[in-house]
Amino acid sequence: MKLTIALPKGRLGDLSWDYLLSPLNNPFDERKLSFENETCQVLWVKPSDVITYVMAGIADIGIVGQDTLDESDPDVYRLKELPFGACQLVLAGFEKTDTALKEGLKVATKYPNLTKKYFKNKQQSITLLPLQGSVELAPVVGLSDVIVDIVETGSTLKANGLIILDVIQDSKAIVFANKARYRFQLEAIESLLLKAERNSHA
Amino acid sequence: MATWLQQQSRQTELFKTLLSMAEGLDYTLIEPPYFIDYDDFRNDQPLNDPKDWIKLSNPEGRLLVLRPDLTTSVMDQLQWKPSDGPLKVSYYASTFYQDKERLEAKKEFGFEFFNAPRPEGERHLVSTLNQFNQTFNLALICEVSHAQVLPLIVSLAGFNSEQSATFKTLLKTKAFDQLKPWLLNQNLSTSLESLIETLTEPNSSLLTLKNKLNGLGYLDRFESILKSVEPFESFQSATVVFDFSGMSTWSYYSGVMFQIYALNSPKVLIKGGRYVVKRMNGEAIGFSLTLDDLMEVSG
Repeated sequence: MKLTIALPKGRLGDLSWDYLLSPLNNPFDERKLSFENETCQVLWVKPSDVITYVMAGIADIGIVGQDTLDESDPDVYRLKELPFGACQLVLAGFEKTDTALKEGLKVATKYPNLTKKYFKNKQQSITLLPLQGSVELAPVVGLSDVIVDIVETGSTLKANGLIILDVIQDSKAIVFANKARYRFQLEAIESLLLKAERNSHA
Repeated sequence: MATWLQQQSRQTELFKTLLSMAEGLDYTLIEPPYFIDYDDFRNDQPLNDPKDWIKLSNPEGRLLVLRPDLTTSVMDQLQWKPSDGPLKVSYYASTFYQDKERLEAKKEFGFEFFNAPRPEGERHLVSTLNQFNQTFNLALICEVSHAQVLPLIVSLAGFNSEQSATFKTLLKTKAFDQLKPWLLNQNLSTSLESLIETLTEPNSSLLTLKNKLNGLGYLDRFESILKSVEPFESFQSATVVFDFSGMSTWSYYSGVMFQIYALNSPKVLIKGGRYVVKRMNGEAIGFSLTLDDLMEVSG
């Protein structure tokens, strides 16, 4: 039974391929969304869909950022943190924004659950504005007071005149598994991760 | 429409097969009550988060909960006490929960054996599971755990509540790459670290596990636990894995706990174990499954 891996299209998926399946050349083609050899099948899917493929058991394992996993909090095994994909989930806004005093603070984000949890811990009521992308634009055009978003280098924030007001959590890429598929594919998963770990140290 | 009718007919067929199996093993089919007293339920399930339960108030102002779990409802229906002797009941009923704005229901078939002595109850359970799979002939993996293992490890390690919570979260998600460095920072003895590693990795043989525990000097502390999971070695129609990192979201489990996975299914097919019937000061052992899941894996 071949191991099926769901990888996110884009940079994280490329890094994941290099980590897990190196030295095979990454055959990613924008139009052909699956690759298969004697031992495994790789599915390239939209980053936000990786969890869906794994939960449905179509893929045995998948790779996403910890932020994505924490946001939807699926019942999966989080098998391994990977040595790439490091970023931070932050609260960002203009330098003069006073987030602590304002009740009903307007917060735009792609991470509504993590945002709610963060402000709940601070015992602060907010108005949540869920967005799908270009979150940095929201405070610039007055849609929100602040944003909660992922920051890797901070250059997009800077380009829009925003700064980090608080770091909510650190995030890394994570290999996670469907619990049922893990049981049937344990040997293949362990062997893949062990090989990848060895290659990364070579 | 034709597909829907075929599905209904297949589900009825599966129900009849399970019912006939239950009757052959002297289980009596009962209908658990839909509503039970909220405070009683919370008393039985103090660890569970009730946010998705359906709560209603009756005309006298008593808060009721719409069957979030069948085992507790079965107990409520029976008014059974241990002095009444062993009792085998089966049910085919729905549990209810709220998913966002929708009321969802999940229909399960269950087998519960009240006052089942140890380890005869466990043996009977495994024999029932074997009979189940002789009927359905599925490729199964049964993951066996025990409710007392983690509390015992926590007590041996002397973890405080914060350490215990972190330990359980890392185990629950099998984040072993984080668990190892975390354990190193807790200043545990090498033998205790090895014990944790031994008990939380998948073991296919109890004899090997016993030998390892003996070598570490912990066999006597875990002997009764291992004895109560021993009957699962006779679950010949499935691959059995003893993995004590497993834990349940239900707090009533007191002994063996297990989950069975079927090839080609992304979910648990059967779950069960030995549990406390708190308000009746007794114990029972049993398991349940949904017919939708069974239909999916049995074709």
